[in-house]
Amino acid sequence: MVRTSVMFLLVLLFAVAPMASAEEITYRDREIDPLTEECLDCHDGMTNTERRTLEDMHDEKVLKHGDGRIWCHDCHNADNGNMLLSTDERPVTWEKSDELCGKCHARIQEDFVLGIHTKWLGGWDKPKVSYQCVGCHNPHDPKFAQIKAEPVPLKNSGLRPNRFKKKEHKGESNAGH
Amino acid sequence: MQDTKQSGCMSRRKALKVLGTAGAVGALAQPAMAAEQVKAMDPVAEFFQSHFRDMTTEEKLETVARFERKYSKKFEKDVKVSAKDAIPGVKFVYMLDIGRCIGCKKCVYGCVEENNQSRPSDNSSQIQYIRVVKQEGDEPLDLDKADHYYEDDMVPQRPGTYIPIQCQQCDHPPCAQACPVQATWKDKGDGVVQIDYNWCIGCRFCMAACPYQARRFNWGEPHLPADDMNPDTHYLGNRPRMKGVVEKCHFCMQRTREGLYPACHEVCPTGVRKFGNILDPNSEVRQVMDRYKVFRLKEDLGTEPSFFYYSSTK
Repeated sequence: MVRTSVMFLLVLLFAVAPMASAEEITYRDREIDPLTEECLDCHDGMTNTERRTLEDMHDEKVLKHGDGRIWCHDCHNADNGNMLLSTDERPVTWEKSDELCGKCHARIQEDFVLGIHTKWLGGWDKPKVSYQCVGCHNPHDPKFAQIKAEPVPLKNSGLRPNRFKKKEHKGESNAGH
Repeated sequence: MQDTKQSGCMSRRKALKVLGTAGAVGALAQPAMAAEQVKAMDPVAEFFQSHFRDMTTEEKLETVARFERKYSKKFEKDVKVSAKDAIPGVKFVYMLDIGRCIGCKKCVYGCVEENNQSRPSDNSSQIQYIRVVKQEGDEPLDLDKADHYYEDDMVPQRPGTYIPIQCQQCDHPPCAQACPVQATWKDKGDGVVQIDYNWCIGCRFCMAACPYQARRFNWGEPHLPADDMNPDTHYLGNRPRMKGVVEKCHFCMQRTREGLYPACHEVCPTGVRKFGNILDPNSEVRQVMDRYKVFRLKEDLGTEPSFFYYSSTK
């Protein structure tokens, strides 16, 4: 439950990742729908690789990534349904999804590996914990939605009780912090 | 005659000694009484306490215990006050990616909750350590044109750049030079500019000296509801402040000196904030510094901030 809510928060957000050091890094995986966890249950040697509009299965997937230029099997491994497809056509697991994202986003993948493009969890002097790419970015619809901003700071609060209460802040300059 | 006098003198001294010993023994024999007496003397001891830097380790522990008693009583919860020194071989540095900051201001309010700042009420100010300013459009960075009071409801609103600004933890802090009583100084270890709130006289010279507007003054008695009070505190960090003292960001030293990330880093939904030890070649801050062109605010002033900005998108 906690994990779900944390994930939900992070899915709204940015990226994730590790570091080019010898230290151990723990990657957290994206929460995967248990129904789709075992892709092999259906996709065992009967995958239709033809590019088409999905109608019967997976039609709930909104594929907005790359304005429709990207097709399922650009990322998902057709030969092994439980795996993804890396840059050099190797099967990769979900925990290493950065190896396939780097296919197009090479510079960002480099940042991810160096530990720059990520949100670090834990502590600066604690074991390193990070999400993988898909922990924060929805790979099918990667654009982040806008989020609600926190309140604007008050002007001159506490200086003189009630004096500024009824005034509108709009249109004033930003002078006088 | 002389003998008698001398012996009389000796006996008086002896008598005093005996009295003193008896008193000490009595105090030991009745520890509960003694503790209460010590408690009763707390306000006096606080008034006469010396500068934090001049205290011996025992004095620091005694002072911290005194404040724990005071705050635990005031906020009716178990408050911890730490006096932990900087970790040796560590220099804290902050890196912020302004290209990806979305300006949601979650850092501002996360900081307020962590650091026991004054919440707004009729008689007290709203105190926030972090200012997020917005610059409209795509023009080069100009802090004079940036708006502190932008009213974007949904963020980010592009084109626009959001720049969070907090204490820059300068290596040559003008605030520390301006302070007439040396109540604020830079830690020689991890480099945090810290304040002994009990030594501050509230003259606000440091606020005038700071080129980053990073310092805040408690004009009134801070309004801090007991429910919102964070009981994990540091003497030089987020312990509750009083009326008439200056405060500012201290890189959440109650957290960072325990190896954790600061609250603003923790709460940031985007991961644009990077914090760590710049002396560690594997730290993420060092990676950023190696890979990106970093800059600091108002570099020409020679304040040498420990707070760096960079942009990974441009």
